[in-house]
Amino acid sequence: MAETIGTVEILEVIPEVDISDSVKEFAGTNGEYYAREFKKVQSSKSGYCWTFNLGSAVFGPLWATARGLWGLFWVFSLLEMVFLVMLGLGVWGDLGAEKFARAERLQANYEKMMTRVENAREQGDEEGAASFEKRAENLAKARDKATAEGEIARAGGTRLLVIAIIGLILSKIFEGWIANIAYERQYSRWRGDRTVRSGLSWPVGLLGFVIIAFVYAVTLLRFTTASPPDVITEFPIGNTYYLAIASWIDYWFDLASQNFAFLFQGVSRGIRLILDGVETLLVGTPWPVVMAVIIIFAYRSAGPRVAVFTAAALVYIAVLGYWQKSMATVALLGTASFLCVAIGIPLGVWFARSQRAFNFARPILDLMQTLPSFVYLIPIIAFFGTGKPPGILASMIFGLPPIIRLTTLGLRQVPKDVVEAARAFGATNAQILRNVEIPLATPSIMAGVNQTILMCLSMVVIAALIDAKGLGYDVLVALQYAAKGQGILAGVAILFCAIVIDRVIQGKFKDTEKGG
Amino acid sequence: MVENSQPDVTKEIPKIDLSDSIREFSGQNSDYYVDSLSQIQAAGDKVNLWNKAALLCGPAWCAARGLWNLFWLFTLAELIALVQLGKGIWGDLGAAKMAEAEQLTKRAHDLRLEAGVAGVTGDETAESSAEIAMNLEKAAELAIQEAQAAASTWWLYLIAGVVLYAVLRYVLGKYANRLYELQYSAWRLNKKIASGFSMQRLTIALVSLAILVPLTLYRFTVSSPVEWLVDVPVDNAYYTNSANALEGWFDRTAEAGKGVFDGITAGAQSVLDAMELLLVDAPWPVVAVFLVVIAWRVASIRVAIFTAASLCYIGFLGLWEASMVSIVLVGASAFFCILIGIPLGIWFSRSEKAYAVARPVLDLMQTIPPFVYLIPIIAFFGTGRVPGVLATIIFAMPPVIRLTALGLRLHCSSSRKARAFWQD
Repeated sequence: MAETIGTVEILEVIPEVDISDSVKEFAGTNGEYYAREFKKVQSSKSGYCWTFNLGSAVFGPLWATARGLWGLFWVFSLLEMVFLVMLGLGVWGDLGAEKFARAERLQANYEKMMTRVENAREQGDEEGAASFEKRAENLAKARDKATAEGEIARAGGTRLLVIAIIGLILSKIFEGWIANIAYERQYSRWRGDRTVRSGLSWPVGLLGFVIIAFVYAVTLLRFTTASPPDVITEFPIGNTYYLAIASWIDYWFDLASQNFAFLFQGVSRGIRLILDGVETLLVGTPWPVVMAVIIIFAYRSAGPRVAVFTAAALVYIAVLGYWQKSMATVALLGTASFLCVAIGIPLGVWFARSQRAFNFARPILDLMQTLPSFVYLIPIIAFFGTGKPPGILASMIFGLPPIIRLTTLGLRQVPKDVVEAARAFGATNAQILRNVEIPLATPSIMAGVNQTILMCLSMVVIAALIDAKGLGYDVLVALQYAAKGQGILAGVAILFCAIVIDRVIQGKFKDTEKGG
Repeated sequence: MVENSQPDVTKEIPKIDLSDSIREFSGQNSDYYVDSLSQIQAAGDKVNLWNKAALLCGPAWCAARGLWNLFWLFTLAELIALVQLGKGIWGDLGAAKMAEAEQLTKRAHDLRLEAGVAGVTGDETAESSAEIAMNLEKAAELAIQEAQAAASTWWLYLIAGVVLYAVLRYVLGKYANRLYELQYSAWRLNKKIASGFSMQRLTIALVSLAILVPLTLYRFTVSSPVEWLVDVPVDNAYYTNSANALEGWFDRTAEAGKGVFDGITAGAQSVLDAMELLLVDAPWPVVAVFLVVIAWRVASIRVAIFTAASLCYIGFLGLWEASMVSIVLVGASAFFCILIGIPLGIWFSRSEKAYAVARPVLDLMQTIPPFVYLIPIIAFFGTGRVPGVLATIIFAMPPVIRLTALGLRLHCSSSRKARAFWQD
């Protein structure tokens, strides 16, 4: 932008440079026309003025490819595709078909019901006839509704057609207008860099033509013929592959879960052991004790304001009768985060030392964070069944990456000279790690711990899907029965748990920073 | 660390006399601590000096000496030991199993009655009922046996409790001085750290112990503790009333804002429809070609090959249409995120005040589990694709806003300079 404004001002002051020869060289065919139009574009203040390229308006994407404007080619063809499909749907598509089919089905049911009514009448069963008649009436109503909807959809076809035609005309005008402006930009670039495509190129135009012809032909075929070949409407594959591969995967899952049952059970038991301990502590211990300890802990690590907030949050939880569920949730979350930290920090230390291990692990970490959580619920259920331990495992998959990454990052950011100084004093590797590197990486590691806890917390509801109970279960039930009030109350309880944990840990971390 | 690596250095250079400093730090009983802490400093980890006060008073000593973390740790551990002890002495160990047995007998009894009634009326279920009742009776007997077996293990709990308690005190007594030495070293650097012997701290600790220990012991050792100790004794009415009030508010808002919500739905729906037209209604070969060529032009030939392979996977497994519908959802969500998020990000990069207001909201959007904000979305927008898109937007918008704001802030100063230069 700034550049064009600059050139325009210069052009006004100094005698105009004649660009016609250079434009002619650039454009090849039709050079005179482009020289004229480019001057117009260049002399306009904003860089946008009214020009109209008939060739572009008529041929659209084809013109763009022939002139080497690939970006414009895709924009044009996408635009035209949208309106073309609309046109096809409007003219040939049977828009109300689904609704009419439904109406027909309902009509058949209605007739069946009416024969039943008659049968009942013949047998003198007035009561039965009346109830059948009521059902028939309902069916008739549904049929009428479906027919009406079908009519509306069919009428929508005309609207679609109108929109499509207007859209096509507008996009043609747009194509004609933008062509010269875009082409002038290409020309400016070409003046700076002669490798930029110039002139009218037939081979490239041909490529565009092939693509366009293919697209148009298939689209027309899809919409104009009454029953287009299935190849076009749907991917020409039955579900044979799908079924075969799915059952093959099932088979391997079953095999693995049978053969390694001891392993999976062992992991489950280990997690269950830790969870039981934490649960006894939080759920089993009398609530006044737990509440007092939490508030004191918040006060000691984060100060009076956080303690007051914590107290308020706990009162909210207790008054609404969520105490036990919240504590169960925190136990679940605590176990998951504890395991994440216990596994993640050593892994992070290892990855900080070994670049090779980190390179190997990075795609796995990426995968763990990108996969939607529901997807890895499937293998977890296959191997570990449902319940709390699998819920914790699912949370761990989601919560591990941040702690590993941030530990690695923190350790790598420790200044080299500090480590060297420690080594010069004769510190062993273990001493360097324990007394130098980890203290210096603490802010980063604590950020990782914090993120891990929040990640685990956001898995609470998903874990409830596989029977991990707790507050998440309340949210799920509320969702199922559209009980908005209950769901929000439970959701806010989860949120309070998250904020309290977050604040307490952040407070603790700030405290240590101040102390050190 | 300093003490660890320099024991031989201390031998050579004249010893620094720390007695005064230790005296100041320890307050009461300072002669003892001067002696033991200097020994530890001189010999590192090799010295083992019993601290009788810690051994006898346990957590109370920790609190009085200002070692709060240690206090909580040992209180917790000793509580666990005491609970075992309590269970062994007066806990009813077989209670749970006994209750189970009672329930089973009761159900068996009911079934027997039913079977009798069915037998009189000649019902077929009589036999199966009798059989189930028999099984239940067997299970009840088993449960009683187990209860007796559990009740006879009281001495195990007793021993476990005593041993754990003894071990804990032993550990504390043995390591108390060393931990206290660490506290002293920290205190020498930072005089704000707790020091000396404080009656006030001791009182706090004793009061907390007096509350915590009996309550916990009672809860775990009595087989059926009073109800209010197990769960918070709250009237269920609070819950129902607030849930109803919220529900009413949601309904009223949904009613009042119907125009707005419907408008948003219609707007989002039109974008979705347009994208669906392109991806779902268009013939699949066209869409596939478009996707592959766009991948090639925008990224590279390698990405294009990967795209083609992915599309083949999708096609061959018969997931084509489902995938395109998903892409439409994702695409529409991303479109709205960018459309709304980038202007907001620009605004927040300019106005510190607006950003300060928005930051907690953004935090909230990222912390709330997605299922929770599905609830208001369903309440206001119903179900379907548009609410799905809205939920996705809530989840995905914070990063767009944050990173736009961050990026502009990083570059703002240089671009402002550039603008100033041009205006000159």
